[in-house]
Parts: sequence; C-alpha cells; structure tokens
Amino acid sequence: MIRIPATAHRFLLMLCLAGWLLTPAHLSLAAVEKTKVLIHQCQSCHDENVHKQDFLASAHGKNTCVSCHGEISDLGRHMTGESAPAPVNCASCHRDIASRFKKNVHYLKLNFQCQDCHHDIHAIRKSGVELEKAAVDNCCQCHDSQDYVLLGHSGSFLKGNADAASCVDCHGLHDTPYYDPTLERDVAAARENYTRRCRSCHDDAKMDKRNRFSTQAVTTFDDTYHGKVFNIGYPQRVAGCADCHRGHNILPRGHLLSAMHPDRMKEACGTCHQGFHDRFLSFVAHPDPLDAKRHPVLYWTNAFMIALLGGTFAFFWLHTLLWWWRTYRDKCAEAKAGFVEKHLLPECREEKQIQRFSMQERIMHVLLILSFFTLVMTGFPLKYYDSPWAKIMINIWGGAYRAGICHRVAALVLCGLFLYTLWLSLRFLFPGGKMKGWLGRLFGPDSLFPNLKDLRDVIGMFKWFFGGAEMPRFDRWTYWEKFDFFAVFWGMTAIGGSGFVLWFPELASYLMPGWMINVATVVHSEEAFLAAIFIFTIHFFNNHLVPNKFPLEPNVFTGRYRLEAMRHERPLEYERLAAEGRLESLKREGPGIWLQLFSSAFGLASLILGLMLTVLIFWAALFY
Amino acid sequence: MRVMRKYNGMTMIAVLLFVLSLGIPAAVLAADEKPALVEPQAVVWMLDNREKIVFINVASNLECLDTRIPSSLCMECGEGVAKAEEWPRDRETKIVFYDGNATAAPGCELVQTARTRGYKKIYLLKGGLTAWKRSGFEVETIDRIPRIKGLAVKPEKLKSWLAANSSALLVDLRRPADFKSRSIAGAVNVPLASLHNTYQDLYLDRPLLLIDQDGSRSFLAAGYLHRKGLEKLYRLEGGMAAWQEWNKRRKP
Repeated sequence: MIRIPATAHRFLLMLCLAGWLLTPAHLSLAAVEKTKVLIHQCQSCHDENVHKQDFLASAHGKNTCVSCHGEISDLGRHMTGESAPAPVNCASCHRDIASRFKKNVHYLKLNFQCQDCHHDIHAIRKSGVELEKAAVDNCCQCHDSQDYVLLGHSGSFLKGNADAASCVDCHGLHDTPYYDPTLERDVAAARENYTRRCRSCHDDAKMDKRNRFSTQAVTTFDDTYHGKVFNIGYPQRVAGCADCHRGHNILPRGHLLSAMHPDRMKEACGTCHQGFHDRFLSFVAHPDPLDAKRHPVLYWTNAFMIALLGGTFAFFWLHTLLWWWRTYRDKCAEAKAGFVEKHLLPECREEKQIQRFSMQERIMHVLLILSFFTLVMTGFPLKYYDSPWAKIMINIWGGAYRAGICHRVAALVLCGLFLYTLWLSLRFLFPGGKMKGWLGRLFGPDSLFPNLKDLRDVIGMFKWFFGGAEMPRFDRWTYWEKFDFFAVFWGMTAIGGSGFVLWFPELASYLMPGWMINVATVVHSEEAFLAAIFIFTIHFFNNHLVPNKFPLEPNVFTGRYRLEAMRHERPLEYERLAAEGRLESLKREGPGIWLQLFSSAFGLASLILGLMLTVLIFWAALFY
Repeated sequence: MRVMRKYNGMTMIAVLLFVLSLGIPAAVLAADEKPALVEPQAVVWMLDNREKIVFINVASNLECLDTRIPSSLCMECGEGVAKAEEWPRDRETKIVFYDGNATAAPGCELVQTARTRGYKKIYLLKGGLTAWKRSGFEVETIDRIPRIKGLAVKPEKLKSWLAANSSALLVDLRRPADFKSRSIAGAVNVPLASLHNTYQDLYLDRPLLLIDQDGSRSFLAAGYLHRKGLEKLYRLEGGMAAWQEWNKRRKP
C-alpha cells in the first residue's frame, strides 16, 4: 500500500478545496439546484466513476450525498479530516426493510448491516423483475451454491422458470428468519414456516399444472400421521417437507444427489426414527388410497373399510328407523288409550328388581365409556384436523401432546378391558377348566355368541316392523346386543392392532413392511369412524333412545331392572329362570337414590356428549 | 465448677465443629454454584427499575467492539485477572456476562474472578447477544468491521477444495482448549481473541480457510483480515459443528 506523507495529504486537500472554489458550479451556487451543487462539491474530490456517473444512474441518484452522509455539515472540517463521517443509517429512509432486517439471521447472528450485502451501494440499481435473480447472485457470494444453483429449484429458476423457487421464496429477502435449534419452539416455528412456504407453491393448482406436477403431494401428505399432527398445530415431533426432502437438493427420486434416492432414504427417515428394520423404508409418505395401480393394498383396504362402514350403517340405520317408526306408532296408540308409562315414575327402593349386571360388569362398562370418549375426543380432532372445532377440542386436553398421551392411556385401559373380557369369556366356556359341554355353553342362552335363533329373530323383527307378526321373544341377549359385543371385539382387533402399529412404527417394521403403516392409518381412521358413529347412533338408540326406554335405560349402571320389564323385553329368559327356580335368587332391592342419581347423570351426560360429537363428526365429514 | 467449665469447653468445641461441618459443604457448594441464567427481558426490567448492572462481553475484543450491549465492558474469558480497574467498585452491582451467539459458559474464568472479587449477583444472559438483539433491544458499535464476500466451503467439499488449493492454510479461530479437544488435521490455531496481534504471522499469498465453532465468527475474522490486506479468504460453512455433524453422518 502506498503511504502518502501527512504534509502532502494536507496539500492535496487544499488543492481540492481551491479547485472547488473556482468551479463554475460553485460560482453559480445560488442559481443551481441544491442537489446538483452538493454532488458537484463532493465529486470534486470523490471523482471516481462510482461517485459520479454510476451514482447518478443508481437507485439513489436523485439524492444528494448528504441525504445519507447527513452529518457532513462543515465541508472544511470534513476535507481536513477533522470530522470523520458516521456510518450511514439506511433505516432513515428504508424503515420497513430495516425493521424486518432486525429479525434477519444475518443481523442477529452475524451482525450484518445493509452494506455487507449491498457492497456496491453507490452504484446500486433497481432490480425490477430481475430482483430474485439478483438476490440469488448475492446470496451465492457467500453461500456455497454449487449443489442448489446448478440443480433443483434454483437451477430451474436460473434457466428462466419464474415459478421455480429462488433463495428468497423460501428464506425471505430481508426477513430471513433466525431459529435457535436448541429451542423446541424455534424448531417447530422453522418447520411450520418452511412447510408453509413449500405449500404456497405446491398447493397451487395453476402452478402445478404449468410445471407438470401434482397438488396431490400436499393433500396426500395431509392425510398421513405426519400431516395430521402437523396441521393440528403440533409440528414439534413430526416431519415437515424439509425434514425428508432436505431443503436444497430437491431433485427427482432417481437422481443420485436427491435425498429421496432409494439409497439415501434410510438417512432421511433416520433423522427422526431410530432402530427400524430396512423394510420400514417402504412406508409411503404421500399415499393415495384411491390409486389402485401404485398402492393396490391400500386401495383395497380402503375399499373394504368403506364397504364395511356402508353395509353396517345401511343395515342398522334402516333397522333403527323402522324400529322407531313401529314403536312410535305403538306408543301413540297406548297414549290415546290413556296408558301411563311406569318407568317415568320414580323407582322405589322397596320394590324388588332383577339383577342383570354384576358390579364388576357395571364398573367395566363405566371404564369403557370413559376410555371410549377419551379416545374419540383426542383422536377425532386429528382425523378432522381442518374442521373448525378440531383445534378447540385438542386444546381442551392441553394441546396435541397431552391429547396424544391421554389417547394412549385410554387405549391401554380399553386393551385391559378387552383382555379381561377375553379371560371372562374363556372362564364362561371352560368353568374350572372343564372342557365338557363347551359347545352347548357357546350356543346356549347365556352366551353372547350368535346362533340360529338370532337369525330367526332378525327376520322376525323385520316382520314386526311392518306389522306382519308379533315382536320376537328374546332370551338374555338380543341379536343387536350380541352384535354390539362382537363389534367391540372386531373393532378392538382392527383399531387396537393398527393403533399399536402407529404407536410403535419402528418396532412394527420387524414384523411387517413399512407400507403396512399406511394401511394401519386407513384402518385406524375408518374403524374409528365406524365405532364412534355406531355407538352414538345405533347403540344409543337400541338401548336408550328407543321410545319405550327414552331417554335412558339405566340398568347397565344400576345393575337391575323391574320384573315386568324383564317379562316384557326378555320373556324367554324370564320363563327359563322361573322354570329353573332361579328367579328368586336374582331378586334384589331397587337402586338407592344416589345410585339412581349417578346413573341418570352419568348416563344422560354420556348420551348428550355422544350426540354432540356425532353432530361434530358429521359436520367435519361432510364439509371438510 | 471444673466439671461445668470442661462441659462448656467441650460443648463449644462440638458446636464449633458442627458449624464448620455445615460451613465446609456450603463453601464447596458456593464455589460450584452456577450463576443464574437471565432472559434479556428480565435484564431490561432490572434496568428500568434503576438497578445497578454492568454487562461484560466475554467474546473476543474484535467482536465486542463490533457489536455489544451499550456500555458493556469487553473482557475475553481468558482475561480474568486483567483490567482490574474496569470492574465496578460496588460489590452489590449485578454482573451480567454474555457471549455472542450463545449463553456464556459457566466455566468462563471471568465468572470465577467475579465471585472471588466478592460480587454476589452474577448472571449469564440466556442466548447471549443474539437473544438480546432478537428481543428487539439496542446494541452499539465502537469499531465496526465491514463484512466481505467470502465464499464458504461445505464440510463435504473440503477434501476436493484442498486438492484444488494445495497451498491453503486451515486457520482455526477457536479457543486453544477447544482446538486441543478436536481439530481438523493440518489446521493451525489462531484464536480470534488474539487475531489482532497474530494476523501478521499469516501468509499473504496463500488461501486461508477460516474455521470457527458454528460458522458465525469466521465472517468477522475474514472482514478483519481483509482490512489488514489479506485477500484469499474462505470460510468453513457451519464451522466445526457442521464438520463434526458431517463426519457423524458419514460414519454411522
């Protein structure tokens, strides 16, 4: 570097000052526009192109020098070096950008200022339509660009595709956000931000059509566990777009550098999941259950579940409607004849009643109700994450994380009940280890296993609906009660099995391929709908809302009911017990006032809650 | 009387021993006690309540002069004994230590120095200067180092970059202890804290690859070296943290 002696320096400055005093611009100071004069004053010393032609042609060309270097008020002191210029405060004009830049990672972590990116500030031009291209060029001054400028989004962008994402489309221009990887809330915010930015293009049908890819990438992601948990507002623990696609190398799956290349899938999944078998990798992150060619098993599972739901609801809703219609007509006729229903009168403790459910069975039913409602109210917000009530309901539980814990605890309670019922069933079939006669017990009147009489009862019931016959005479368990019991058994196998696969996907990969997780998602979701709606519409009607029991049949809580109710509803059981001489041994005192109060309050609350949930579920299923 | 005196004396000794037995662990605990973490908002709240607070920037001098909380003292962690005259006289003054992008290490020698000097209210600013700025609070600049365009080399490309720049020198800017615990083969340790003294030892004509902990300080170092006339400056993107992460992924 050439060093100029101090005396020579002073002489040069004096020469500049003298030159400026002699310029015509100075002499016509009063006549000429102030802007021009000041620029000429400065340019007499700062005479490089960058301060002359380049500056005048720049975005700031209409400003004077002191517009930015405002503290230079005494030119003499400035030229003799007595007052050094202060750093330029760009925020005095660019307030909006400056306030956004305060949140920029380059400012927060690296203490960058405007001039650190806008190096050529005196010659800076407005980028106009080329803004994004200029931004890419600028970013790549420091960031190693080879992998994403030559390939992926930016490669396409630089080739002229304006739809393709440049740096600023994902990272912002002056508001590039900063996320602290050690803070969970920052990790969640980062995932939410970048996934939102991906969606802003990939969910745009017009853009997808122009660029020949499908919006299915977004909708199919939304229907996975990742997508549902993400959308319900808990991105902390699930994958967003960039977690698998790894930000920059967004390339076709077959490309060696793609994070989605089969050889690199283990690395992509391994970011979050540990200890899985290689077959875990066949999990489909964007499954389309309606695409039979690509996902045949998923397609047929979905079709089977829809058929199961359709068949079950078609039969039982018709059954329910006809039953209601028939009973309503009967009740109207009775009312006209002046008959007052006895069950509307308060029950008297002195009255002897017949024991139907033991204390153990009643407790099991209460536990079943509690765990079932917990499962529905924690699971359905996730199933219908985009419905207006989903986030409200999930927040009642204290957020998605706590709702998830409650869901799993309730599932374990239900599993415990299921296993205990299995044990009770075995004890019923083989009392004291006795094998003999098990077939008789299985198809006997005390068993919940369907038999030929049930088939006759179904036909008889339909005849009764249309007035063609008397109502069938039932024994201890009616066919719809047996269906309820077995529906839980089927449901527990389907929903519990798929639930455990979703709970422990890595462990499941040692037993089944990864795509079974996709199947489990469909089964869990559809079976949940079947179980909830079946209970809230069909079970509720058959047992409580049918006109002669409305609004509640409390015997599942009180454990006992009237003798005449038994004689009317289950005549075969009554006759059988009377013939066997067991009727007296089953007589109990009527339920006390507190038990009646509990039964009514708990039972009615459950009914109302269930019906409210039905409305919410149908609202979401039909409109979201 | 004699018995009483003896009894009293033994009681005194027992009481003394008991007190000492309580005191020794308490003293040990006090010595090991970590300073309290404090959020930026809480510090500003203290300032609003006119409490006496002294901020101490424990990053390097270059960083401190580049950006700091207004009126901070600049003391690098290794300068525990130095700058005695700068410490506040009032021992009730609250001392808030802060680093650049992270909370100052509780093991920083300055924290121990503050304790031995008798300061009772010692805090570490949570998240460091970055958290302070993120909360929207002002900073000041004493001697700003303009940043330069400095191309970053990704850890996975370091090998090929070194092959293409065979004369390159790897300059590790971290503290000596960090350098000793793990470093890239062939790197030399030039701590950022003493860069203003040691930059003259660096080669003017060789490409320099600047390595720091997380890629945030090498920008400043590159700017400083550029100001001192060095030209061929590169940075390791993401610093040693990214290098280690890449190594971990490479060898699962």
